[in-house]
Amino acid sequence: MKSLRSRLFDRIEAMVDPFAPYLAATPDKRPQWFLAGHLRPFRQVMIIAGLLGTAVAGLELGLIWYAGRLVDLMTAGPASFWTDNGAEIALAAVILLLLRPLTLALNAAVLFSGISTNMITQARWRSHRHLLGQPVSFFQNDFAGRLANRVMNTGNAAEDTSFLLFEAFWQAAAFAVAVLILLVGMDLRLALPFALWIGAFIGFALWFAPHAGKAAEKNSYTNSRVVGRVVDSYTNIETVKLFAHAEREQAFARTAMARHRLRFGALMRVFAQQQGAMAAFNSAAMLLVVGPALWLWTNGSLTIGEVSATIAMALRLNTMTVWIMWMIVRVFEHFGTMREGLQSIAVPQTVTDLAQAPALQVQGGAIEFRNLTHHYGKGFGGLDGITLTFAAGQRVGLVGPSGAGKSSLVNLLLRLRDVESGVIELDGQDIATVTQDSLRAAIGFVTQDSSLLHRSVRDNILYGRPDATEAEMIAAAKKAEAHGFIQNLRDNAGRSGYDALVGERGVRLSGGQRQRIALARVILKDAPILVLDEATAALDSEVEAAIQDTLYGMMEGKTVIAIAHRLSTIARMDRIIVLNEGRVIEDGTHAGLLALDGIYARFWARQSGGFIGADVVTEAAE
Amino acid sequence: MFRFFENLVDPYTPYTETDTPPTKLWPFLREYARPFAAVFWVTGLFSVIIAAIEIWLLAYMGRVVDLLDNTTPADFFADHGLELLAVAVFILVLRPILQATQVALLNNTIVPNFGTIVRWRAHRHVLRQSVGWFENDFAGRIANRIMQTPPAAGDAVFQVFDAIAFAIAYLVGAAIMLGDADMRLIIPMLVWLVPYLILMRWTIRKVGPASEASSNARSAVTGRVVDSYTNIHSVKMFAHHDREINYAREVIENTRTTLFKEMRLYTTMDLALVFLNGVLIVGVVGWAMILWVNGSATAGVVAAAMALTLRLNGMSGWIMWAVSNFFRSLGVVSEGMETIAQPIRLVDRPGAVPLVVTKGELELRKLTHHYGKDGGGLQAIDLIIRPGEKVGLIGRSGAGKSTLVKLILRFYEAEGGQILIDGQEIKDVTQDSLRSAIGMVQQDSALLHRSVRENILYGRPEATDEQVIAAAQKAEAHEFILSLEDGEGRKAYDAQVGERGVKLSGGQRQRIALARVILKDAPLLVLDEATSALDSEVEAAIQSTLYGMMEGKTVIAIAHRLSTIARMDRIVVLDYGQIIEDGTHNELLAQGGIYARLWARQSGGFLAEDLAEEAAE
Repeated sequence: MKSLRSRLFDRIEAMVDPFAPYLAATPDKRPQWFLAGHLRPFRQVMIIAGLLGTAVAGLELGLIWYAGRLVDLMTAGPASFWTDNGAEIALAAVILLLLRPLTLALNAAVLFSGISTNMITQARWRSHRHLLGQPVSFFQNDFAGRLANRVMNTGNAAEDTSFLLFEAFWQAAAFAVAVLILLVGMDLRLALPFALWIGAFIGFALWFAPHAGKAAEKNSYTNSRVVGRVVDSYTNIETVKLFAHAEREQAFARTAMARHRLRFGALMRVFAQQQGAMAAFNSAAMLLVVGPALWLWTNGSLTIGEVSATIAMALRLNTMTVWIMWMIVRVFEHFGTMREGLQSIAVPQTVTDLAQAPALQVQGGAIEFRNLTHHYGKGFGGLDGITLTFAAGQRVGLVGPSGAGKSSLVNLLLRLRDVESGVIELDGQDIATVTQDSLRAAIGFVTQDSSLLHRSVRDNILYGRPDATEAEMIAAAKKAEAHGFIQNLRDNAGRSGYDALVGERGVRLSGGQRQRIALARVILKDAPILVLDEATAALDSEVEAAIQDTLYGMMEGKTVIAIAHRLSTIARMDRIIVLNEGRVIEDGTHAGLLALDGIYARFWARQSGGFIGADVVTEAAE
Repeated sequence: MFRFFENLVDPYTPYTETDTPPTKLWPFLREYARPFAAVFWVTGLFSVIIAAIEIWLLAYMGRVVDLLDNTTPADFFADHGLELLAVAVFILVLRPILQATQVALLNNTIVPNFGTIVRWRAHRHVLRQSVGWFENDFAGRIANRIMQTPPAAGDAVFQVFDAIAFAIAYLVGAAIMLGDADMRLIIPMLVWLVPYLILMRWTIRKVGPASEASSNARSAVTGRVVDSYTNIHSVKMFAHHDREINYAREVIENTRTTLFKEMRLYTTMDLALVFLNGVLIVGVVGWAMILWVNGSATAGVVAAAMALTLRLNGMSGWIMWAVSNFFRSLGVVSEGMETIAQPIRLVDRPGAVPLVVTKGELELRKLTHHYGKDGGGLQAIDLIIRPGEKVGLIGRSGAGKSTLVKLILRFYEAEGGQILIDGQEIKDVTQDSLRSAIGMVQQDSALLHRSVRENILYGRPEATDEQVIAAAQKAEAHEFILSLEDGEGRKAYDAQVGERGVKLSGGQRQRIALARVILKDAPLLVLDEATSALDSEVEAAIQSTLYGMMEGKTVIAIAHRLSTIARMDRIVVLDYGQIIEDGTHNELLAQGGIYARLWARQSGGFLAEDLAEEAAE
C-alpha cells in the first residue's frame, strides 16, 4: 500500500506525459515561441500552478498583515487580551502551522515535479528526435559534442524559464497586486508611493535586463570556445605530445580562458552595478514609503499596527525586488542559451520522406542512374550527368582518383543527400519516392573506416538485424573472421567476449578488428544490394585474404558496387567503371579495359607490380 | 574602479607545479585558494558587517514602534527628527557603499578569478598526463570535468560568503538582539534552531546522492546522444531511426525518474521547513505576547520579535538552498577531482637533460611491455638501428609494431628493458626533447580543429610562410589546399579543417600531416602506415617525397603493403612480440620464411594470379 504522500506525488508527476505523441514540425527559431509550443501540453498544470501561486502570495502577505493587526490589537492593553482575541489568534496559529505549509508544499510539488521535470524531459526528447531526422551531411558539418550540448542545454533553459515563470514572476506579481489592494484599503495616499516604487522597478528591470542578457550571452559564447579548445587538445593528445608543444597548447587554451575571464568579468560588472543600483534604489524607495506612513500616523489616519505592517511590506518588497532582478537576468540568460541551441535544433529537415511514401519493393536489385548531376551546391565537383544501368545481380567495381565522385555516387544511392538533378531508380522505383528506412534496409554498406557504436560487441553486430538469434550472430562473426579475437576481448569493467564494451573506455580495437565487426554486422543484415567502399583497406594481408573469400561468398546473388584503390581487390568483378571528374570515362570488364589501354590499364600496370615492386622483382630475378 | 577589484588577484600567477596534487577535497581547495587568502578575509569581514547592519535595521524598526508608542504624534518629528535623519543618511549612503564593496569583492574579484585559476591550473596539470592516461578515459568527460569543476568551486566559495557567513552572523545577531530585549525570547529560537539544524543535516545527506544520481543520469543521456550523432552514418545505414530514438528515450526517461526523486526531496524539505518556520513564528511571537500580557515586555519588543522572525522565515529557505547548493557544488568538485587530482605517473626524471642527437643511433635492450597483463605486447626485444639506417617493420596486427613505436616515443613507460638514442637512455632525457627529435606519421593522422596553416605550423611554429608552402608542396598538398574554403568563407591556408579534420578526405588529411612532419625535419623518422590512406596516384607522388625526407635520417617504417617497404635497408619481422626475421629484402626472400610467404601473396596478390592467367589467354 503506497503512502498518501507518494500517491500524491505520482498523481502530480503524471499530469503531463513528455513522451506523448505530438505534431512533429520544425521547432520555432524564436525562443519565446519555442517555449510557447512546449508549454501547450502543460495548460492544465499551469492553471493549477497559477492558482497555487496566488494562494502562496496571499498567505505571505497575510502573514505580514496579521503581524500588523496584532500590534493594533495590543494597543488595547494586556488586561483582557487573551479573552478578547484568544480564538482569533489560535485560528491564525493553525493557519500558520497547517494550511501554509501544505499550500506551499503543494505549490512546490506542482512546480518541481509537475512542470520542471517534465518540461526538461519533453524539450530534450523532441529536440533529439528532430535532430535524428536530419541527413548525414548535417552532422558532418558540426561537432557531435556541440549538438548534444545544445540539445541538453536548451532543455535546461526551457525548464528553468517555465519554472521561474511561476515561482518568481507570477508569485511576485500576485504579491505586488495584493499589497496594493491592502494599502488602498488602509489609505490611498500610502498606496501611491508603493505603486510608484513597483512601476519604477519594472521600468528599471526592463531597461537593465537586456544589457545583462547580452553580457550573459557573450559570456556563454566564450565559454563554449574554451570547451572547444580544451576538447580539441584532449582528443588530439597524441599529436600534442608528439610535437612536444605542451607549453604552446597551454598558451592556446589560456588565450581562450583569458577572453572568457574578460567576458565573465564584464557580466559580473553588470551584476555589481545592478546590485549597487538596486540597493540605492531600494533604500530610497523604503524611505519614500516609510516617511509617508509615519506622517499619516502623525495625522492620525493610520494605526501603529498599520505602520508596522507597511514597514514590514516595504522590507519584504526590498528583498523580493533584488531577487526578482536576479531571476529576470537568469531568464534572459536562458533566452540566450535557447537562441544559441535553436540555431542547431530549429533547422528544417532536408532529406524527408514524401507524405505516404510506400516502402521499397526489391525484386532483383537492378540499379539505374539517369542523368545524375550533383555539385554539392557549388558550380563544380561531384557528379556530372552520370547515366548507368546495373542489372540485378551484377557485380560492379568503381575506380578513379580521389575526388572523382565515387563516394558521391554511393552517398546519393543511399539517399544520404538528395540529388540536385537526375533520377536514381531501384527495380524501377525512384528512391526519392520510397521511405528512407526501406531504401537503406535494402542496402548493405561497408565503409573504409567503420565506426562502431559505443555498446557491446553483441549489440554492434545485432545492429545489422536486431531480431537475429545468438547462433546467427555468432555465425556472422565467424564468417567475418571476427569470432576468434572477440572471444579474447575483455573490457575495463571485466565484461568479456561478445559482452565487452567497444570504444572509449571499453576495449580498444585495432582498425582491422573494427572492420571485421562491421563486416559481421553487414553479413547479418544480408541485404539484396551490397556497397563496399574500401571495405578491406584497413586489414592486414593475411586477414584480408581470409575475408576476401567471405566477401565473395556474400556477393552471391546480390547486386554489388565495390570501390577500391587497390585494383587487385576488384579486378574479379563482372564490370568495372572508371570515374574521373564526375564522369564515366571507361566501362567494361577487366580484360576489356586492359585491352583499351586507357587510365585503368595505366593504373593496373603501376599497381600489379608497384613502382617499388617492379624494381624489386627485377632484383629478385637476378 | 572595477579593474581594481578584478586585478586584485592574478589567476595566472606563477606557482610550483606538483606531480601529485592533494586528493582530499579540503587540501585541494586550499591549494587553489592560496592566492586569495587576503581577499577571503576581507570579504568575510564585510559579510559580517553587512549582516550586523541588517539586524540593526530590524531592531531599529522595533525602536521606531516604541518611539511611536511613547510619543504623541504632534511632538514626534520635533523630538526625534534628528535621529531619524541620521538613520536616513546612513541607509541612503553608507549602507549602499558597504554593500557595493562586498558585492564587488565577491562578483568581480572572487568569482571570475577563482574559476579561472582552477580551470587554468587543472588544464595545465591534465595536459601533462601521459597518452595512456588519456586513452583510458573519454576526452569529452575529462573536458567536462575541467569545465564543470571551476564554476562549482566558484559557486561553493560564493555561497560561503554570500549566504553562509551572512546567515551565521545574522542568527547570532538576532539571538543577541532578542536576548537584549528579553532573555526568555531566545528560548523559542534555540528550540527552533535544533530541528532546523536536523532538517539541514537530513537535506545535506540526501541532496548529495540524489543530485549525483541525476547528474549521472544526465551524463548517460549526453553519452548516448553523442554516440548517435557521431555514428550517424551507421544509424542511418541500418535504418534504425525508431530504435535509436527509443535507445535515447530509455535514458531520458531514467533522468526523469531520478529527477523526480530529487524533486520529491525538495518538496518534502519545503514542507518541513515551512512548518518549522510556522512553529518559530508562533513560538517567538506568542511567547513575546505572553510576556507582554504579563507586563514584562514592551509592545516594541513584540514588534521587533515579529519583524525578526518574519525575516528569519524569509531567510531560512534561502539559507537551506544556499547550504544544499554549497554541498551540491562540493559534490561536483569532488567528482571533478577524480580526474583533475590524479598524480602524473610518467614524469621527467629529476635533473633530466635534453636529448642530444649526434648521429641518430637507436638501440633497444631487452625491451618488454605487456600493458600490465601477462600476454601480448613485446617480449625482450633486442635491436640496434645504426645511424641513417632505414628499417621496415612488418608483422600481423597485434604483433607489437605499434607498441614498439609508442615506447620509443615514451607514450608509455616500458615495463622492462631500455631504449637508447645515441647512447642516452630515453628515461633520462626530457620528454619534450625526445619527441622533438622524432618525426612521426601515422595511418590516420588527426588534425587539430584549427586552420590549415596552424596545423602545418604545428611542426615548427616559428617557420615562415614560404617554408610552410614549401613543405605543403613537397607533400603534394599545396594544390588542393589552395582550393579549400570553409563554411565561414576562409580560404586556402586559412580554412578550418573541422573536428579531427573531418571536412577533408583521408588522403588530404594525410598530406597535411606529412607537410607538418616535413616542416618539423627531425633526425629520426617513424612512419606507421603513412601512405595506406592515399590512392595510388597520390601515393606514387608522395613516395618520392618520403624517400627524399628519409635522406640522412634514421627511419622506422611500418606497413602492411610490403611493396612500400621492400626498398628499405633492412626488414624486421615481428610476431607475438618477438623478432623472428631480420635482414634485407633479398636475404629474407632467400630465407623462405614468413616474409617470403607474405611477399609471394602480395607481389601478385591472390587475385592477380588468376588475372595474370586470364590476361595471358
